[in-house]
Amino acid sequence: MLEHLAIGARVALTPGNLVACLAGCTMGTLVGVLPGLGPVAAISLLLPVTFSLDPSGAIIMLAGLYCGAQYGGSISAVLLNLPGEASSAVTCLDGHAMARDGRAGLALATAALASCAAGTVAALLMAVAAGPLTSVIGALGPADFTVLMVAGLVLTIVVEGTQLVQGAVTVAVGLLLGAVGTSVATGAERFTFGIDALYDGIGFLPLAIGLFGISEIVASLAGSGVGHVAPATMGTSALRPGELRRAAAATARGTAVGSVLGLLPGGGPTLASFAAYSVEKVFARGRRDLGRGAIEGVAAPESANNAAAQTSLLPLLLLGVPSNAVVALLLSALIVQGVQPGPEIMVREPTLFWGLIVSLWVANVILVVLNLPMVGVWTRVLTVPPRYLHPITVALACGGVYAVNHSTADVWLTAAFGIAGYALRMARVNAAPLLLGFVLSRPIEENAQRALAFAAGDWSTFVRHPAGALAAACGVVGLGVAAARGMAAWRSGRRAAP
Amino acid sequence: MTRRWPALRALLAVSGGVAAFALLVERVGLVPATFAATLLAGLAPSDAVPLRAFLHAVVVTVVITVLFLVVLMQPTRAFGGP
Repeated sequence: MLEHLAIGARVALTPGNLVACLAGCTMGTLVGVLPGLGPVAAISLLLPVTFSLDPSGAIIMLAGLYCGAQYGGSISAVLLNLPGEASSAVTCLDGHAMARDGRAGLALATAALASCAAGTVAALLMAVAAGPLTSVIGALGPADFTVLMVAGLVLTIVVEGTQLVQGAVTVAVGLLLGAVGTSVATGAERFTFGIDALYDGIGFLPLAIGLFGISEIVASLAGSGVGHVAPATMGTSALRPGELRRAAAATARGTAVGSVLGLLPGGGPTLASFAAYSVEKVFARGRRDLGRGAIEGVAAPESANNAAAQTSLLPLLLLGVPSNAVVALLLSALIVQGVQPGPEIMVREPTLFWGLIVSLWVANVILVVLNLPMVGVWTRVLTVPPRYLHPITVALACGGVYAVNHSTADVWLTAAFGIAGYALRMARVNAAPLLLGFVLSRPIEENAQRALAFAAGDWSTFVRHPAGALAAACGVVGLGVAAARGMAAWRSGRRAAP
Repeated sequence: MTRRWPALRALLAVSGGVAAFALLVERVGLVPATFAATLLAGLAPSDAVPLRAFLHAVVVTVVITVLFLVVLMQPTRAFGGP
């Protein structure tokens, strides 16, 4: 294990890659801290910046962007009570309560230190678990991968709390958008409507930037998003011994919960932060103060979502199954860089794999060093009116999308998906499942076709093996949970109606 | 209608800015395309001041052009078509 981490350290600690990681952390925090721009929008808008780098530099910058954007999201959660994404929602409860009490500095320091500690433990766990997981995954076939990916989509809908029908429809739309273009298996054109630009399919970047980035900018400028908000009082960042002990215990519990839940398809940071908060309600010394500014209410969810964010990269790298929209963005970035995730990635790309794991740890350390003294600076960024920031973001998005393929069609698609994303936002539809469906569309299709070809068209092949059957069972249970939740909501709605 | 106008204006200006970039970048170059996109996005807020948006667009265009053509060495023309 140490040998593998040493390989990673040799890659991650070169001056060029350290600069890439630092740049990623800074840009990620800068964009993640902007009101309303969560990690998904932040990474999708900054993704083109990485395309000019070599694969390891690009992946390391992405690791920095990933961690920076996550941390930037928690700054806006604590200071403004605005979660950048669902996983930061729990942090708002106690983090913003601390900020209102004039303890914003303490809340942000706790978030940074808890995230760093959790990131360190998660990186070690990933190094320990990657080998055994690879041998387990190596025994899986295309049928198992297909069922795993479908079950992952179902569980994501359940965990995201999206309504079953709405989630199923958005996933289906994502799957259909992913199927646009030429079929790999048959060479047939699908949904191209005679438009040449669609023969190669819809690019991930126009979809992600349009759906999340452009729509967020429109919402912010229109006043339905997040506007210009005055930050809270900072106060001291130093933890007293008693607070340190309570935060450390909560961090340990949050890290344990997050590390395990991050490995599950459909798990990831959101589930982890909510689960860690529930654990704190039982075990925390200050559980009676939870929701009113308890330090455990910041340390536990922040450590859990950071640990889960990192361990969720294992299913991504070894299975190619993203557990959430942010990880789906990373998957696309890996593919753009010519890196194909799969069980053999550790053998095929050892420097990249271990370099990424060590870089995640380096990014966490950089973020603590960068953010503890610079919290005041990030807070000041929040005072810059959106009317100055958003035109820059639009120009960067246009230039970035165009730079990838030098295709104006991609820019047109970005505008179209921006309008669609805003419409979905107005209709209160969560677009994250659409993005996951889009990313998994081709892999599901290719694996399903391969599995059916091996089994001579016998559909029972998908549940014949234990792994596939287990994943299918998880998917069915997830569907049952979502259906039961929907029924309960419908019944309570009927009771409430006159 | 009063409440919907800022949203419609922002939607038209921002998506129009992106569309303007798509329309212009291969016809007249990166600089005019970026300027148009930034200017339109700058006019999106309902309280936008045109002169301020114009000056902001000039500055942003210079920065973006340097970023893409000099730092990232993109093979795109600053001015002029293909």
